[in-house]
Amino acid sequence: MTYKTFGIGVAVCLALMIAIGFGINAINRGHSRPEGVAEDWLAAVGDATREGVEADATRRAEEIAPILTEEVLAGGYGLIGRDTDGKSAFADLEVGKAVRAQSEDGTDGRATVRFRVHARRADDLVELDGEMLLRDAKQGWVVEALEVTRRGGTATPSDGFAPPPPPLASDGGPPPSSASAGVWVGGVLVGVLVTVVASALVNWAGREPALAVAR
Amino acid sequence: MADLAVDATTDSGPQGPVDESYLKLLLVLLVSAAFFEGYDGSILALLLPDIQSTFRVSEAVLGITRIPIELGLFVAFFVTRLSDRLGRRPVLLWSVVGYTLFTAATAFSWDIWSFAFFQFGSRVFLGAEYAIGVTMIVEEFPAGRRGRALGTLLTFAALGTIAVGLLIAAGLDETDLGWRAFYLVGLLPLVLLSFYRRRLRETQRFLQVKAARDAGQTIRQVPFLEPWKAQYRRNLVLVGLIHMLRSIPLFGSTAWWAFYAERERGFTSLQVSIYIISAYGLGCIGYYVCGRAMERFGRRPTAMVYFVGGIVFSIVLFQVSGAVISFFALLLAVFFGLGMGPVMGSFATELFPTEIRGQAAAWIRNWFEIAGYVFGPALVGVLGDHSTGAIGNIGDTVTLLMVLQLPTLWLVWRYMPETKGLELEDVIASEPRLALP
Repeated sequence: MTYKTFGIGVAVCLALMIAIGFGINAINRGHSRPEGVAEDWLAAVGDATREGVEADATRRAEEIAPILTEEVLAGGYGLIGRDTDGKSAFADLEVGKAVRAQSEDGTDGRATVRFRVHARRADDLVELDGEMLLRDAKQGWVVEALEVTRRGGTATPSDGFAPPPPPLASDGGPPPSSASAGVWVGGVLVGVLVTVVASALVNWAGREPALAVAR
Repeated sequence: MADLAVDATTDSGPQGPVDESYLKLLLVLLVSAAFFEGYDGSILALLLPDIQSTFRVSEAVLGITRIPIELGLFVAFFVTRLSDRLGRRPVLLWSVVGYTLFTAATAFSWDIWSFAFFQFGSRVFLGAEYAIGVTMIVEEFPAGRRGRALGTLLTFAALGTIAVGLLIAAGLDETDLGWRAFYLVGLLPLVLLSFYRRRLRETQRFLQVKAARDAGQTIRQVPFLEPWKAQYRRNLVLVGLIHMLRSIPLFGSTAWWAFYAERERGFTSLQVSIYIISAYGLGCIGYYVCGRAMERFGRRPTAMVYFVGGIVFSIVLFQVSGAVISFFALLLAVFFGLGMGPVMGSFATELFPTEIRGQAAAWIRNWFEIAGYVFGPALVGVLGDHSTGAIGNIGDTVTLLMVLQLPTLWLVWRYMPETKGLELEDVIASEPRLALP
């Protein structure tokens, strides 16, 4: 192989990578899930107590929940503890699958989603369960309302939102989102295609095995 | 990987006797490279949610930043080649210094892009350190002990992962420094090793070549594109493709499992660290079993069994929610998925004659396998992003990527020659005599 051939090979590989990048960007376009937005908001609210990133985290949380964030950060809903010692308010978080519904006036979509966090309380962690109501606004999903429904295993007075979201994955519920049947079929087809291309490349590289043994 | 060669007959170990105590010292010093390769990679994998929280970026951005980070291993290819000109020892020692500096700088990152830049630099020197370490073992250890020495090296990569798990269990991530502390802790033994590595000698083979060069003799340097010559190309493409198709799902899964377990299965961070410590600790046995199996049953059957095991248990791991099943699936995914390192290493070396073995292994690792480091985590992050990903689920995305390992089964079964019992010194680059299966 000459350096020129090598250069062509590298250029072809780069072109292929760019094409794959554009392809992935194209199939990603248009997706916006309330589950992911709910998770982003919880992560941002949790980090609003984290030393060094408070301002940025607060800004991000307010982008997703303009009104609710201020109330939550002020201690509302019992979500954020007073003493987090400069750490994130949540040690970990989990968001469930959202249930979507049209609003009463039929103008935009709504979704409810269940969540669980382990919130810091001084040196301890408290398990909090809750639900969120999200609205599909022009700029994407926004968190509109929140209810904490369970604290450390004890139910708190709450009606929850309608329609009620399914249980969390860790409680036996469905994962937040799943690949569709078409994606699974497509994956298998890609596997077959890769096998064919890989075999062709090996055959192109040489018909004879290059390994020889000195006897 | 270093590509120095005098002639095809110098593969049988060092030209003079190397004392036993020095070989032990050499191995102890070099395993640190493998240990920190595992350690460094695992910080990213296990503390991904923390890093994400600090820099407040989406899964997609996290996935994309892995591309420049892992490209450092590609650049390492060129740094490693300097060791053929300057010597193994100086380049290795400078690699330790470079890795140390960039690792320290990582702890002071101010945003995701500064983090990516420092990790890129860290990968450049870590990759060079690891590759030169392997070369020094190959050049200094006698043929009969190389396999065990290389196996020890691989095992320490897994121990690096366990160390991160232990530090998480000890609560290091709960300190004020958070994930940054892990990069600072990684500095302490490196500072010590930088000092003790002064006891490292230059390899005898390099000294021999240098002496010949100083005496005005013509030394044949293996050209950059030598492994692409017609007589080697088939094996290079075959082994390279197998490494690439394995590494994309492998590194996609290892980079995202902790994140997946926390965010999609509701594991606590403590649970994740306990799982990692236990499963990786037991899963390390996979390296040993693989080494024994490939000697007893052959490379091809061992590879087939390990590939099937890796695919099946990885899919189980990313599809089930039960804690007990997840634990055993993780253990067996590590056992098969990572444990097949020795047989992959034998494919990358045994199919090539001595004069291009190092160069071929470098092409396979730094060009083909690097695709997995770069694109595996990126693909999972972009496609599995909970908000905007086309799949929106890390578990399903990893499972789908496992499809890419299926072609490797076909390639091994259909094209891979068996090299069981073959002495490296017997592999020459001339007429083909081994029959395809």
